[in-house]
Amino acid sequence: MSTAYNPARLNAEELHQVKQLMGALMALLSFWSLASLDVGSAPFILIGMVVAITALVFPGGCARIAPKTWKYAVPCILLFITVDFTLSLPEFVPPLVRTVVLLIIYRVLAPRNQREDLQMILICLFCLVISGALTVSLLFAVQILLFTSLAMALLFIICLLDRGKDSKAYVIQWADFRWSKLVKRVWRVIDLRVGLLSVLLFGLVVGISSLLFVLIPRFDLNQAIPFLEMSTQARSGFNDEVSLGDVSEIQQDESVALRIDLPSREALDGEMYWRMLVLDEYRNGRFRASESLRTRPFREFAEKRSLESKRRSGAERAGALWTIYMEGGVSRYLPIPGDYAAVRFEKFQSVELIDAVHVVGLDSVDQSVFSYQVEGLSFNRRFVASEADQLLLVEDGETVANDDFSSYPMTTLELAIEANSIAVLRAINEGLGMQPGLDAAAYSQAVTDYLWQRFSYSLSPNGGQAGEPDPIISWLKNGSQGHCELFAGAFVLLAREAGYPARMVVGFAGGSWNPVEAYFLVRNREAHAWVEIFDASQGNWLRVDPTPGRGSSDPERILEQIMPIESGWFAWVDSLRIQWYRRVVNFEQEDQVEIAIGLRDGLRNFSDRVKTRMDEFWESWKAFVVSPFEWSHARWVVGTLLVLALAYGLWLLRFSLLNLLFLLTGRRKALDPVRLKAARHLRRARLAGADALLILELQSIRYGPPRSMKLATPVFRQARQAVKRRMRVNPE
Amino acid sequence: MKDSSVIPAPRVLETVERLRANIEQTIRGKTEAVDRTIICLIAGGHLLIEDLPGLGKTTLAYCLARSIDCSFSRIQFTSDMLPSDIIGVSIYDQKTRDFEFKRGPIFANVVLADEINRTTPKTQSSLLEVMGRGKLSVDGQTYTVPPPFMVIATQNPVDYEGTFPLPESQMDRFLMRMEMGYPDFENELDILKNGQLHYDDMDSVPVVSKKEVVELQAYVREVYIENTVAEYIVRLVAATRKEKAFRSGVSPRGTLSLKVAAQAHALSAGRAFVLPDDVRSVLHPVFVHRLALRKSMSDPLEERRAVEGLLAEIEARVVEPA
Repeated sequence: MSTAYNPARLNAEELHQVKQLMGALMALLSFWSLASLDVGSAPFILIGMVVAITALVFPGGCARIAPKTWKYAVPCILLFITVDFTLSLPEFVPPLVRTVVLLIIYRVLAPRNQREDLQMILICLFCLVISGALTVSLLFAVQILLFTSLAMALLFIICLLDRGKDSKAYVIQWADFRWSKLVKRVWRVIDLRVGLLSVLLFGLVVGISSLLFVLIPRFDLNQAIPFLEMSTQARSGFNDEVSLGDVSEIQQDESVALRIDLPSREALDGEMYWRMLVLDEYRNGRFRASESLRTRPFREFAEKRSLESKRRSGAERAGALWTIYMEGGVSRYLPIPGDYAAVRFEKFQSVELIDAVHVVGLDSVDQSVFSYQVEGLSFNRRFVASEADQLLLVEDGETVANDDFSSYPMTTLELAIEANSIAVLRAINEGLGMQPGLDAAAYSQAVTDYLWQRFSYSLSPNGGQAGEPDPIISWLKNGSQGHCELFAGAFVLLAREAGYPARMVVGFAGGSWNPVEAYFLVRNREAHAWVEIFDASQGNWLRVDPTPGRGSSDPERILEQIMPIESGWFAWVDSLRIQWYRRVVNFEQEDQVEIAIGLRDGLRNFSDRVKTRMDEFWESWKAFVVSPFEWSHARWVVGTLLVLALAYGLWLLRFSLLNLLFLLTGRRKALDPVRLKAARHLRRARLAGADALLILELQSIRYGPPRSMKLATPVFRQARQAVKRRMRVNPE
Repeated sequence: MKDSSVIPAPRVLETVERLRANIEQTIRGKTEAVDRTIICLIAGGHLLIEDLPGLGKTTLAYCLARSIDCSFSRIQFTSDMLPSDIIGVSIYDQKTRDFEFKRGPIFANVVLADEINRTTPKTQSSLLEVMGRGKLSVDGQTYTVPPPFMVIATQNPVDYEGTFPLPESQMDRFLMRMEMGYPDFENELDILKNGQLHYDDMDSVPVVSKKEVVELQAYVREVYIENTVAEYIVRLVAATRKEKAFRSGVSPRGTLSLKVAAQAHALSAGRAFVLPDDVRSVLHPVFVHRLALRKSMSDPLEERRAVEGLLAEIEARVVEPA
């Protein structure tokens, strides 16, 4: 069989080619990581990706760019960066990302030597860390692993090339470059043992990191890197104050807002109203949480790991566990659809509890994913009136004489609009032709029916007129189509006019099921606004959704709804994310401690077992030494001899075994071990300037007729000694 | 011991050194040329010397012949020469009433074919046939030239008016091609003081027997060539075939020639195995005359230089075994 000789190394040209291509790969990796950042520099990143892919596919093309270009490129980039930063301050992450992208593009295209390669690695690492810290997703782990291996290989190549003196300004000839050829060469050149070793090392590093992950306490990344916190824009979704149209704006957003692990798919009872915030006050055309709700005594501040419900007794507390993962920047209010036994957080958390309206908020909008668990959750159609709401019960049926509308719950009856606007509302209420004293549910159905007849649903409402002081009244008078906020707002105003306390509720309605990992997800576009009306007869707040297209107009009737199912590529990718959330983000301290203890105990058990074994061994060994020829020790003797024989045999056969390994892996070496060793010694002896006779001897082993290892070994020993001697005389 | 080959390396080295020293007594300062001649001799190949007249080509050949105690003949090629002038001719013998073969000058151990390109292709080819096979047939009778047999042909690369350049296929028959070159100042001074104008006046004595030469030639075949070195040779050959500037690459005969020349080089250094260095040091003399440029140049000397340049590039490009 003729095997082409396998030159043991890549030459400088090939090494440079590999280095250049790996640089482009690394650039691609960092663009990928930046792309998952979502900071509005997508076109830039796209251009960068195209450039990197081009540099990978046609590496020769980049080399053809005139060197003069690079001289002018640097000032241009500097100018762009300065202008970009000046224009977009105080936002500084988007221009930073653009800067990084530009720099990487420049580095990919321009020729690089050592210094530039190191810069490249650094910039890419920066990209990865930034995006990893901001997104906290499973992809980050994949990216950092890829990066590590790439960077290690790149650094290795840089070290290799560093040996040559003329590596400073090497110009790569891409003339006869082909990917297939290079890959084939690299594959042939890579030493299996070295490859195996590096895989082992890599595995070891990953293993150790995982162990550290288990053992080291979590810290808050946002607190550790404070500047990241101010950087990303919050989706100004559900704040204390909502102008008309705000919710509809969120409805344009396709990204995922919530992911929910539920006890079972059946636990969702088909309504799926993810209630977040209650807006009780309507002034100047906007709904907001009234000042009273935003301060004590309604709002309690606490630093807690769990919130126990005051309304449920201990026996009721137990229940299935829901885990909700809220994406960063969605809101500081937690979507909790109804009553619960307890809400638990990963760690002590500053929370704001507005128990009167069943709202739980954080002290600030979290920029990375926030997860919490709810125990014994139920979807409420009716919320039991709180202590504060008793005020409404007393007043019910009478004309409200209390003029102090500034404080909850009176805010739910306030109509801070002009008199002729109230007249419009009154006209509509009278047009419904209802008897006085109708209960809230019946009234709701009548108003909803009226709204559905007159208006249709659309994200672009009409009816707004310049002269009108109030947008909702204007819509009621002139409009024909509107969005959920207008429906809900109109309902609230009408109800208040008719004497029913009513408040607007915002959150998400709907969602879909991801069957890949069996969880529920809600997108930002499912943001919704609806109404809660106070039902004095039952003493609770009744949920009413006056927007058409979501069930029946009768708030008491539940329609069966079909849950949408996620499918395809997106479902799969998104399931990766929830896996990451479940296993990493939501990694609880208890679990951590448990695993750590488990590990420790396992280790201790193991060492104990080893120790006892050793003791036994020692004892029997002693017994054997004392009386070696007793029959009961025959097992020992035979065993020891066998082991020794086996070891000796393996030692003798080590070269044949090595050859066998090469043969089995299809990488038959051109050289047998003796020649290989001789070649190595020859190289060293030549470098050390050993005497001619020794070199001739080594040459005859390397190039002469085959010799056995036994015969060659003395020469090798001699060579080793000679080299050592030389090194001592002339250590360089 | 299995690895010790049949070659008694020290004795071989001593023999070669003896020969070399003897030739160098006369041919001053031309170590490389002498070495190559000896390599050619022990490899059993033929040598083509391309150089100007008066540089000592004939002297070298004569010296070689005398040093190895061999017969020497010189054929001056002219355009009116016939094959029989070289090979010999059958003459009718009146006494025996039979044709008797009169052997020509080719029947010698060392044959100097001076200005081989001056004669017609017909005559050239008759010489080359003998060179190739080591035997010749005349009138149905086969004659073997006595071993050792070595043809040293010369060509004048400058004065090529009215010549018949050897076709490449014929060039292939020569194991090596080389140039003599001018002697340097010291050596020329030495030649001035001691040299004779005519080689007949020179007093070379045989230092190596004919038998020893034949023995050396047999040893060359035994010189061990390791697998990676053999592959190195093949890769060098393949590289010449891939090179676009050449009209054609080196033939398999060239491959064998390079191998045998490398073996001879190793042997002449007293080694029983071939090093990559051996291959490299005979690469140029073995390959240059086997390669021609695609765009031929008007000046043959210049063309040789271009070929040598390309060959040097190939030599640098092809990775030698570690």
